[in-house]
Amino acid sequence: MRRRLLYILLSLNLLCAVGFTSPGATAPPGKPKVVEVVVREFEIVPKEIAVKPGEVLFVVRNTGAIEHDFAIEDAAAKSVARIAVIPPGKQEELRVALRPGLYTVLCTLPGHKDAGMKGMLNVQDSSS
Amino acid sequence: MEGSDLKDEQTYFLTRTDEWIWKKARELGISRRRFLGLLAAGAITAAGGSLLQKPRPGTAAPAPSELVVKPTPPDLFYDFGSNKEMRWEVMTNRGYVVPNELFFVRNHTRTPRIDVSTWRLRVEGTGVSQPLEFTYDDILNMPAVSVVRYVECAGNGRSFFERAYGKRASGTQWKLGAIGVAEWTGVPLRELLERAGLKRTARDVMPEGLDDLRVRRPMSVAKALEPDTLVVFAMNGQILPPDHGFPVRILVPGWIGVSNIKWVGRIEVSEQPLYSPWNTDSYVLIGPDYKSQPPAKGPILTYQNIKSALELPWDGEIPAGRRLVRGRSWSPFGKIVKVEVSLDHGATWQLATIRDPNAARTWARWDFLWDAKPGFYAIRVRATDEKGNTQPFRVPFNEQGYLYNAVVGHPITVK
Ligand SMILES: [Cu+2]
Repeated sequence: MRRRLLYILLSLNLLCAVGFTSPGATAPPGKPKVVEVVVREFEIVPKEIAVKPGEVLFVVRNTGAIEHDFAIEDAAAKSVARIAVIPPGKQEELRVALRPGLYTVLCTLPGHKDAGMKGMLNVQDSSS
Repeated sequence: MEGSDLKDEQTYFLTRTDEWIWKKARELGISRRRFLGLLAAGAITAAGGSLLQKPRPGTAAPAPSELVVKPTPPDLFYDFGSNKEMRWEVMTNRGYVVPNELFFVRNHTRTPRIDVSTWRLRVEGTGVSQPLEFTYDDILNMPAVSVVRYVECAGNGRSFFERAYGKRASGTQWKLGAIGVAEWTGVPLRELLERAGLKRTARDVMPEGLDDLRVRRPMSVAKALEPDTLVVFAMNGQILPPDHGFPVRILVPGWIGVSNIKWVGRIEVSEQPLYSPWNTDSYVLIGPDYKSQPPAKGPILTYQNIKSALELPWDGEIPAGRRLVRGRSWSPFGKIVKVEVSLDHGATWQLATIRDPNAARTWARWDFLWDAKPGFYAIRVRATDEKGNTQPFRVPFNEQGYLYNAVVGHPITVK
């Protein structure tokens, strides 16, 4: 059983390796797609985000009472881009060029991810 | 029980890291080396995550006014929501300890309001033969000791990464006021563990908070048995205030701030190594100069480091003339033996006079005479401890912004 799980993990990892690489600066010029996100104790809204590959502008508002941050990690849990801190009641922006793949958005403050501050970011090629 | 070298935070976490790797590799039926390869490839993060308990679901966002109980006016504190930083100028001409009303607050969420009539402290787990429950009165009736120790947030100084690298590290943007020294009174944790029948085979002890996130962080049995590792119920001679952990907090001298768990409701004692997000995901060093150290994302933060602060307003104004400028330095490794000050961007340094008391695990006060002429200054301070640790001029960047202890130019205008 455990071996099987391992193979699944492995094959997922291989797929990821084929499916995408780290984000590059190859996004088409022009206006980025704007995605509005709310962070608060202890969730990220929306929980699932889908965008096309290219330049994306995340506008992240902290409607909670305590500090949060906002990070995008790739399937290997490597940091792709982040907002270091969003004070309560404030809004910060993050502009990033994304390649196709499955990412995680999360708050990296201690304990916040496990309490629910994470979501899925699906970057899907428009041609497929 | 294991060797006493596990009192050392670094040795402890390195030992536990190694054990975790062996255990996970065995579970998956693969070699240690192969396991490490998979970890590096990111294939095993999910398996690592399953080690960690899920905290209870989050509660509704509290109003900002409810985050902290004590008044934290802007002339005494910098406001970061649930975190409040002491303004160093409030310590000018004060005594050795930081009064409770001026002490910094570092809350992962908000201060829980706990009713002691229903509160219990449970000591349980595979590491004790007789799990026990203590009431507040039980704790107050046990033999207590008092010690003077500093507690410092691991992220103290974090904002200076942005000054140095033009890049913000994640987390509360403290200057140097996320530290305080107090006289802590409490029951040695050892006493509770022994009453609960601590087994010789016990290895780890993990206090857990009653806050929304159930903040918890393990330590070795060896550290838990040290005479100054305490279950604290009083601070500077007063009942422990709610923001500082009422009814009880743990004092773990020398270990990073988050180890000093507040509002403790449970202490798990285990024959197995314990892990929590507070020593795997967070409080680890992540950055170009640091390698990942599974199950943690990077080297686990262990000690704090040597730092200094001036009792002056940050970027403030002082009148011209001869004056005694005061400050404090601290190191987890030993007492402070030298404090140097520069008023000319580091070109020349003079010695400050260190005052008693000066002991390990707390801070030393010092001062120097300055004939302040009008102008703008960046006062630099560099402390050295008895083990030869000195403040560096550069600290490598890490994403979570820990351990910034480089010499900082404190901006001040003389009018
Ligand atoms: Cu958060």
